[in-house]
Amino acid sequence: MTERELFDAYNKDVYRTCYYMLRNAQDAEDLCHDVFVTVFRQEWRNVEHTRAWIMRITMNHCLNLLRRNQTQREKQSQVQWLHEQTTASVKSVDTIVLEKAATAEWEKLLNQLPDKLMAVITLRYIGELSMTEIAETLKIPVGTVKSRLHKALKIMRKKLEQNHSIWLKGEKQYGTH
Amino acid sequence: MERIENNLKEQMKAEKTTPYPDFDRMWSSIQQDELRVAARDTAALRPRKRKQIAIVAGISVALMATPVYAALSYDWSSLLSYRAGITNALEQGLGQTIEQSVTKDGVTLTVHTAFIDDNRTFLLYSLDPGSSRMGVQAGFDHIGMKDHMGNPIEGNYSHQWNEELGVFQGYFETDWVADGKTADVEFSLDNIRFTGDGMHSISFDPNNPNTQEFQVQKDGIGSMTLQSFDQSGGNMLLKSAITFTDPEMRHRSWVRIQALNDKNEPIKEAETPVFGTPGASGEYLSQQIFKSNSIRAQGVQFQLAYDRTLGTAEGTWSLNLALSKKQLENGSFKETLNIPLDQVPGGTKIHEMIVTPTQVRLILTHKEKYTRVPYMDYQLDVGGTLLNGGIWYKSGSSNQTELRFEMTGLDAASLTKQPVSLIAKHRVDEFAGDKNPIKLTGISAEHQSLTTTIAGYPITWTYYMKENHLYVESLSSDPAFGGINQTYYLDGKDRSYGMPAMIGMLGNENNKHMDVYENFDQTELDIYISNYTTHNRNDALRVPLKAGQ
Repeated sequence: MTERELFDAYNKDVYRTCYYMLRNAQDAEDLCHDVFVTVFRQEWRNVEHTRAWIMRITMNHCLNLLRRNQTQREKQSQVQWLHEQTTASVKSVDTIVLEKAATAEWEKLLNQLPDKLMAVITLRYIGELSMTEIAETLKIPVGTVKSRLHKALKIMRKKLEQNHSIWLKGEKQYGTH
Repeated sequence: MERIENNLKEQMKAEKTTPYPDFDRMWSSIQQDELRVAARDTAALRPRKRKQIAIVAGISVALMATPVYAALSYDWSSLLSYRAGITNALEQGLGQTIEQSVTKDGVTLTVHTAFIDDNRTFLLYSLDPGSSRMGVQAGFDHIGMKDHMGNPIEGNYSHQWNEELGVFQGYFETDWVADGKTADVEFSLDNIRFTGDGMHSISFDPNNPNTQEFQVQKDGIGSMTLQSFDQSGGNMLLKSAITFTDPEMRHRSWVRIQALNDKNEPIKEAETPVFGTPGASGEYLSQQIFKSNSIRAQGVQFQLAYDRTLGTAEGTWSLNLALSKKQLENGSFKETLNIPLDQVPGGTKIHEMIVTPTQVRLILTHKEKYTRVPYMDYQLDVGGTLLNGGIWYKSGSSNQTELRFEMTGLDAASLTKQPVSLIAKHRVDEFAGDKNPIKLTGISAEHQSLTTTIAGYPITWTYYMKENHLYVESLSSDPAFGGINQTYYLDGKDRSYGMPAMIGMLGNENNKHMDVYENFDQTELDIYISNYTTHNRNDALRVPLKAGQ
């Protein structure tokens, strides 16, 4: 595998992890760049579980930047989403509007998740890491990974319930209202 | 829950939800960063705001020098809250990356970063106790450095347990400064002592004003005496004196009285407590002030709380470090000022300013030894940015006082260009007492009061006998009065001083003082004020140190 191939294989997942963790496209882009610089400075070809390793580096970078930016971020308003790429696609206007609405809602809700929970779900769903790998990355017990994951899902469900989202149709436990 | 999980996964993983950046452009930029020198010239390839470049450039500098990627995930900010200048330098990527570890018996000491400049030498370390951790806290029998000749370099350390990472994160700081640009040193720590909370309940009666004695006889603690004194403002002072069976415990036990309410929660002190002042025969003396009604309430229990050694990991963990001033050299400078400070007694001059990216020091020299610089608060005004600072007395240099300011929100270079002024506020002066006696008459167990004045400040005296000792308390209703430091009586021409029975802090709000004359057997006594202090909280001194460029 060449460096370029490695970059192409993981750039989207790394970027997306940065994006979800930092809620800011510019920071995500800068950090994604630095993650690969870091990766290429190391003996990456000797690493056994490349994916988990890269995701771990990504998460460490994110958490570091979050700590630095904590105060700045608190002052920032929620991220503004630009959908240039979506609108550029061939979908009908209606589909785009519907998708935008749903996506925007998801984004809004995801943005409200605390960093700790966000770290677990991005590693799980974007990084596709196992519970044990997440535990190792975040240096927390596996039990804590499970409980944070469960908590994140619970919060999302609750928020979606409050927003009467279409996304909940068919959810077994729905109907608490 | 399953559906929500699937939805979430789909949402986060879906290509369409995230507008991606231009990865091709990113790729070329990554490649250029590989060639580090070229990367700086081509930074414009990635257009973004200036500010963000600064932040991210700082990170990538740190990354380049960091062989272990995990090292970056340490957050030092809470540990360094009183060492803001180090945080400042760390954020600018100015530390010297060390990342050297030594493991012995499953315990790993790692030195991560060093900061070496003309003011101090500062190391960030972590200690991973592995499975040997036996208590919440850890201390060392010794921590320090040795220079290449083997001469010991002493300093101070502080660390915190990081639950998430399972390590103690700490720093070692010393005033020792390398003579040249580089120095080979050995950093080591001996015997790690793990401590946890020790408890011993005591049947203390807060309504009994007499000295109460309790036998502990465990964990190196022998016995304790405890005395209560009613104070103005509904407060109660608890004075404790502890003797140890293990003399080492004096330095690491932090024995204190805990009052627990009926819900078993500790009751907070009403004023800052003072722990561990040495008594005449080596006791460990403490004073804690509580609200009387809170500790006299129903169901309140008392206990002795202390740090108890739970286990030790014996051995020496040692690392040879090649320290270099290179990282902090840029922006460091010394400037001789010799500005006379006529507002300060003792022939005081601001002799020198030493600037490094982590700290600014002003060296004050005095013609008279042990001159006290009479201000409580110090700031450095650098072109409108204020750096907070404090006073440091260096042992062994009685003609010198240092003012130290941690560098925050500034780089050292701005001190070369901007105008710099010293601001000193809240003046506290010390005066000798006068020759007017305070006449204590009809001395008995009953509390009696009288009022006198000194230099126009009213002082209320309260005196009484308790267990054969005479107690004399003084208090002023005038907040500009700082308090009396000690009283004495005249035995012929010689002064016989009362023993301070309460520890006062210079410059704090409380101007109460208490002396005890032990084994007193008379009914009358003339006492005198030895020294007293006054506050001038609005006094602010401003001294221009250098003009801007």
